[in-house]
Amino acid sequence: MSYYLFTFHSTHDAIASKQYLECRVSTCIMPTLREISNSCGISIRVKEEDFKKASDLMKQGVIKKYNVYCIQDKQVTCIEKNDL
Amino acid sequence: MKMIDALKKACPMPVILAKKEMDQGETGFIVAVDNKIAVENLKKLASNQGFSIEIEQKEDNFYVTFLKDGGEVIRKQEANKLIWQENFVKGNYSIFVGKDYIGEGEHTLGRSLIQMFFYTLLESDDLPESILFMNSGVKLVVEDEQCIEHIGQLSKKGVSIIVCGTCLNFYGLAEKLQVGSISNMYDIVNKMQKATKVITL
Repeated sequence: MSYYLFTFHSTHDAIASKQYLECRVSTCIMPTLREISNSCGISIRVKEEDFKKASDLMKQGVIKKYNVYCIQDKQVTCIEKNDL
Repeated sequence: MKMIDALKKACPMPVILAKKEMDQGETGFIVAVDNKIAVENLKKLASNQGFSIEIEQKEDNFYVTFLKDGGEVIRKQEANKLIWQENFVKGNYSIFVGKDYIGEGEHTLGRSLIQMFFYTLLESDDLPESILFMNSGVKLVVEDEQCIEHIGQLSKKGVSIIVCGTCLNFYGLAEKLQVGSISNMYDIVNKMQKATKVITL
């Protein structure tokens, strides 16, 4: 089972992104994984099937500083880095 | 051997409970107390009533075994297994959710924190026996999608989800409960009393 994680520079960015995404795509807010060190403590998790939509929405959105990780069977892979 | 739970009971309850056993003709029983004064009082009682006494200390508690001539002796550990109440098994704790956010300050942050709390709890091995919702806490099990999802999963794993009916009624949410069972103050107080610890968010 895999899922995608958006991590942010600040909690304000994380909460703002959560509010932006949650009415458009199914999201879950979770504590940032220990393996990911250089971001704030709040991450946004999306299911595999919702990732494309979430990713497109984020690209169109106001918050530009975020990273994207793919988590598969506890393996954490960074797939997108934007100034973090 | 019968175990009398006098933990957290104020003086003179331990002595009253022990005397009661003696009056009923018990010749061997154990009284659990959590302070040295209670132990001293029980020693005096035993001496007055012709009982011999054995005291064992385990962490902060004392187990005082009363024995009359001819009384049966069973190892305390076996007695623990036979009669010791379930609530003293590791892991029987309750979480009290009295509001729909964690901490004081920005409500948005507080709501995010409580969503993440339930997420993290669900991922962990050490689950509570029950989660108790009162006042604005009941809103989480009615309108917060993420919390409803996580709490639903917790419920499937055997955690009792107890939601105050009065509170739901006050907020006009009684028909909208998504997860958990509607309960009352008696049940909630009872859960708190039986828990080894109550965590209040």
